[in-house]
Amino acid sequence: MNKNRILISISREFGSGGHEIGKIIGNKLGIPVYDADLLRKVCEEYGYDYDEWKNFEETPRSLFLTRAFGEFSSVPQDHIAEMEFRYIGKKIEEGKSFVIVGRCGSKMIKEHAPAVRAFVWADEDFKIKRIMKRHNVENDEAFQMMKKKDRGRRMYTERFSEGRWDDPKNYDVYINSGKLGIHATAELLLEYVELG
Amino acid sequence: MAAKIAAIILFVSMFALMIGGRIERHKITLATGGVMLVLVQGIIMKSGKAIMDVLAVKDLFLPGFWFSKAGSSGGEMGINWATIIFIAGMMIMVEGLGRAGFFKWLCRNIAKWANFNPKKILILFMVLSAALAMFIDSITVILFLATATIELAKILRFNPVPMLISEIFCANLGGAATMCGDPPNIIVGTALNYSFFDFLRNTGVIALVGMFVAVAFLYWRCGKNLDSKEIDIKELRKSMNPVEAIRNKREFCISSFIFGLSVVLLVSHEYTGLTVASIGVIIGAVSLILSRERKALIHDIDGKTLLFFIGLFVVVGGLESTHVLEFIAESVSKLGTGNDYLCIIMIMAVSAGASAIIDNIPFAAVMIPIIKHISLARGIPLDVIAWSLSIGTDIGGSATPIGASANVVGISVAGKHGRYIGWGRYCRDSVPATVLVLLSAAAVIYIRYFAI
Repeated sequence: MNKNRILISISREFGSGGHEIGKIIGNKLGIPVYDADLLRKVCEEYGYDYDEWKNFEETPRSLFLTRAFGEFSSVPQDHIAEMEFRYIGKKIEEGKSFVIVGRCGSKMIKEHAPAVRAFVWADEDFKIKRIMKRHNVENDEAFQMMKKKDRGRRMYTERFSEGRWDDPKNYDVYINSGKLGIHATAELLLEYVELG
Repeated sequence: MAAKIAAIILFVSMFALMIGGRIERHKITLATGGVMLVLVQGIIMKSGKAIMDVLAVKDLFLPGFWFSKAGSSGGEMGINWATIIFIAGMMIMVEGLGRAGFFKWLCRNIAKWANFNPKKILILFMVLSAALAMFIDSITVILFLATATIELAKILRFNPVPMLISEIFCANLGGAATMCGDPPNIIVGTALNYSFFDFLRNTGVIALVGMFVAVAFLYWRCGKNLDSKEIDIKELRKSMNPVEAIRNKREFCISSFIFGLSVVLLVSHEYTGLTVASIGVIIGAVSLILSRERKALIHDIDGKTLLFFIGLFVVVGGLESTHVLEFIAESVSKLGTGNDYLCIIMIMAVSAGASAIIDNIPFAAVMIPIIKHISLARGIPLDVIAWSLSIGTDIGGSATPIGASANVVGISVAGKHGRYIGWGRYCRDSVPATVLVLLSAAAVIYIRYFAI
């Protein structure tokens, strides 16, 4: 166990502010945050073409257009997960600290210590307002985006981890960001990390 | 009627679960097979005989099961134990070959022989892929060939994707040539008592013609993207020594000998009377006796695939015992009314179309009782229908990324190395190649069985 490093995963509902919370925690602790740019970093490190893969990240698998058996798979999401697991696994092996937002981060850091696995959720109104503002869309479109994104995250995570994506038993902290707001939630999580 | 409906529901559910992909496919076929036996044959049909027919354990005690000149070999219905035993034996042998470094050694030798010219490598790897797939399952062939291709592509700096697609296509085509090349052929061959040479003389000729068509087409499509970069060939020849791929010289010699033995036994089994079940046992036993890595060889047997086959045969046997397949056969036998050639081509086309989108192994297993019925109903020789079924299922599977297991393996190996092969990219080369090869097969079938 490397006591000097800290591994933090933030799983999050779309619109709950998990990405921002991850950034705040990363900045305060001075450690890298792996988020939407993780795949790009992976592709850069291994020399893969990012444009070929970017559309499949955290999306559900197409049941009728892909096949998988044993260790073999034609599912692009499986290949992305494998690349990211390999990349993050290497960082863990090197003793690096980081915050990982989504992308099955909880599964990746589960067996390592010290680690904090958080799930950020929020009430629908809070999320929809944030999505409308952030993506400049109407209420209905924000609702559809939220449903689609969360479905993708759920299916992606549950394909590679055991248990349900939003089951509190799979996390150390399960927190509603709508109660305290983004910054206070980040502060609370930081305190949890420091106490741990 | 209740038995028929229950059997159909179970079969369709099995396919749906396999498409879903959340549960391992051997669990799906075994569970469906278990429910089929208990519910359909046990509770609805109340027939202990039907259960025993589906399990087909009695086949193992027939002398003809092990020695073809000793009478009936069984395999009329239910679990096709000959297929299971043969595949298990070949798995042990192939595992030995892989562990010894045989495939890597072979690929490196060929690349060296081609002077590391990507265009020459493309042609040679297509031929190698087809030749190996005649005797070894195409999954193993593609697993090793795809890895070697990606390794070479990194060194020689070319895009491996077109070459991978060409190799996959040729592996499926090579597998169509022989009885042991592709699982549908093993199922057809053992169920209908055809020999290795029966396949070679029929599907072998069709596949050979198809191979000329496929190599010419794929070279034209893919070769132009394989320009040689400035590579120090002399340095490469020194650094890429095929002998270094051999992990253990003793194991390498033994596994190469056993591979040669398996080819000899398969080629001569019509004369020796050894059935594929006997060959599977001999090859597996010799591999285990001679190898010092026997524990590893046993450990690495792909038991899940064997269980998948067992479950599948139970499901299909269950369908057969309810006579539901005869209904389907009645409709299919009316295809191309009045014209036997048209009927044959329709069977090939339907098999190809179905195999392009669903697993061709269950499809072939279901089609066997159907083609028997068609043969009786239409008076078309059963073997001609069987060849068109084999060719259709084997080649049709090449058309899409999910049509055959080898395709998934190739795409998977590419994906693990960061190369995405989607439907668009895959089908751009594979669909026209499949259509061309099927047209050439239709022409050969006409000339061989109808014109003369």
